[in-house]
Amino acid sequence: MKPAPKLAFVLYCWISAVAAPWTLQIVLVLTLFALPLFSPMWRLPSERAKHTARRFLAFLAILSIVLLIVNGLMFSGAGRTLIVGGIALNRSGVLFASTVALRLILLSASVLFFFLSTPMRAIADFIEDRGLPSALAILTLLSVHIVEMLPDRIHDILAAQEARGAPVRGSLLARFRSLIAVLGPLTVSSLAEAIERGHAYALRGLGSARILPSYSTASSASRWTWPLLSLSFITVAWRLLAWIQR
Amino acid sequence: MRADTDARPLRPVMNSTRFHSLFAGPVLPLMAFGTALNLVVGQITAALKIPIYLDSLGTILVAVLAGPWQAAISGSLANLLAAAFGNPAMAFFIPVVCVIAIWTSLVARWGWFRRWPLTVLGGVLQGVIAALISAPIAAYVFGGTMLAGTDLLVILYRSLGNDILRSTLLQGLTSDPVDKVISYLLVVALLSRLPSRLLMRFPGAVRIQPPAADHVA
Repeated sequence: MKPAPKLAFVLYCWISAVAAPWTLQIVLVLTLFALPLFSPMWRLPSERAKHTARRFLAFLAILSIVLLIVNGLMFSGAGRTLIVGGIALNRSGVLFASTVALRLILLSASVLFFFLSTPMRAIADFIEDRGLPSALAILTLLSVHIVEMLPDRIHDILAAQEARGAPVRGSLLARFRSLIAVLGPLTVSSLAEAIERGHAYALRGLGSARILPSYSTASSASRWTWPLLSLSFITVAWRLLAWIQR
Repeated sequence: MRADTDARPLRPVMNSTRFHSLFAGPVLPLMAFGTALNLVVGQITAALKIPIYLDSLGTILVAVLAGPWQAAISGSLANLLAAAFGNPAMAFFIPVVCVIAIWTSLVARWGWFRRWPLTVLGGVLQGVIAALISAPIAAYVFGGTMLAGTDLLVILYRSLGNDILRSTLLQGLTSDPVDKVISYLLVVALLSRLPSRLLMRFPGAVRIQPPAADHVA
């Protein structure tokens, strides 16, 4: 699983979201939604990933509808009015909202499908393969590990503080005090763990002034990477040229 | 030897000693904790039914205890992971995170975290700066709608006749200073209760607690 061509495609989507005409944006959005179904590289590997994707699609649908309604109702200035379901919407507002929603779907879906279809281990390997510091790969993996672990710790601390009589269901001020009562032990335990982990990493040479030379041996590029990067460059150049000529 | 090794020439890995020193000691795990805290603090505020976000609490903590670059990396990673975990909008606010990291680090360096009125002032200014940077992103990328509670403020300002940019800016100026002041005060409250023995392992701890007289003696 090589993330380089996928990252190149995400970059092309991002550039197109800002610089390309809306017709190309629609094509790219349709391609993005088709990729997990037809390309093994973009296939969603787990039920959890599929659930996140479904939730995300619902989020995008609601966001787009809210955008259309808010901008249709609130857009200032005179313009033709559209009547949709008995509600009068400003045509310019609806057009603006459609453009924003399309751009938003393209930007968001490309990032989300990339992360959902790429295991974190592959991203960490990619970081190292490209010659970036191993600390970044360790940071990414450790963060994901702590994100999975922290809610349980928060739950335990919350239950313990509630058992000790912390007013977790009192007034706003009391609940705010409870926030400190929860965050305090969480911070202490996390800082103590950080010191212990820091010692362990230092023993393994991370952050040392003397670093052993290390070499990357694998190329993550594929036949898709350079054409996609070239397309991104051409899109930017074309947009700049159009802007200069105007 | 990796299985996919072939005849390609070896490529030296970026191994700047200065860059690696950013992650020395407990700083790397602290950054990971800051990243995770940014992502899960919402669960605590939701459990306690407190109507604030505090989604930059981890970044502020790392900026105070470690430094601006570490906080910027940690906060950016948090936003990228938030995008991966189902809130892609967060990826677009990485510039805001970087500015929060730099400003908080400056405030800590100036010693503003040792006096609470200055801490409040730092939080207010941080909120204003964050609002100035996030408003154009919220307006032009998201059309002013983020599906958050603050959208009501945007709608309110738009109904008063303001355009999108001004409405998002006014919304940011209304909510961000409050959120950042609370975050700053929380960080001070948390760090001031920690034992010095623990705190002094981190490079930025002296910005919170001045060296004790008995240590000097």
